[in-house]
Amino acid sequence: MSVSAKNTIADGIQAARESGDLQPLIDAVPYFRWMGLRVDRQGDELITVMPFQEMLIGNPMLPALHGGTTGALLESAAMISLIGAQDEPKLPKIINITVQYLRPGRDRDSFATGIVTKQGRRIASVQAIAWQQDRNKLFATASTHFMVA
Amino acid sequence: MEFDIENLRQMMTVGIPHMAAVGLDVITIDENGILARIPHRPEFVGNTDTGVVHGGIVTVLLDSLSGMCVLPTLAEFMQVATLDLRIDYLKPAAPSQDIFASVHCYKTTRNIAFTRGVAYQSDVDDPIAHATGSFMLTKPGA
Repeated sequence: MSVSAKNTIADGIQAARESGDLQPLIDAVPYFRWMGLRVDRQGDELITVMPFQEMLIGNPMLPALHGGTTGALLESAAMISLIGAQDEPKLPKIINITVQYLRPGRDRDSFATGIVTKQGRRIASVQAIAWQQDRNKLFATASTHFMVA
Repeated sequence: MEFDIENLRQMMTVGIPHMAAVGLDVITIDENGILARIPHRPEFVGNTDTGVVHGGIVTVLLDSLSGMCVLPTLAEFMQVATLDLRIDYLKPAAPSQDIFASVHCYKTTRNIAFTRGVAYQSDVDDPIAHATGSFMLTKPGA
């Protein structure tokens, strides 16, 4: 990759950390742009939003979101919340994720956030939750580990 | 029960909007498992420093195949709902290459199915990710 491309992610993280706005980072990741993800800061919390699109559907009969998109949202939200909590602007590398599917994700906007339960020197643990209309009615949760060194 | 494999393949690749959106290509599917791939596209990249595909695409592929591989193993049609899915990312994906996955259902009980599989690029024995899933089975109308 070219040097300018290399700067994109690092610059995005740096700019995001300085301004408190992670949207530049989101915009630097092609997959996030393709999924239409955006980040809303609410106090100390970073909420990753996945606006509904027809192409996110996995079950046209219900209709319900594709489980993989829910997993991708939780993984993205865990990473974004972790970047927001880190002292240094680095892109964490995911080690593993376990997604629990609690109920179908419906054909409406989805929201997710991560709670950094352990920030170690090399490894961080992040729990992520996802909801739609009612934050007290989660439709999926995830347990994740990231390499941060 | 005889499974119409072509019908299932059509359902997966055309009938499911997100599968159509990622361009899922089902290569083989039967009671022994599913082999499929997602062809590489620049919009799937997660890190422009490295050109590596975002984990979300690997998740989408493994999630889809894990649920679908249960169907041909069942004696009658049942609804398959994911309880959980664990993905271990074993090594970084190589940039600009298609992602393949091979997933099978290794046990079904009356209510639950268990699956495992891998995602890989050039070599199935050198996977980039490993997945294990559990699924709830429900008879239609139950």
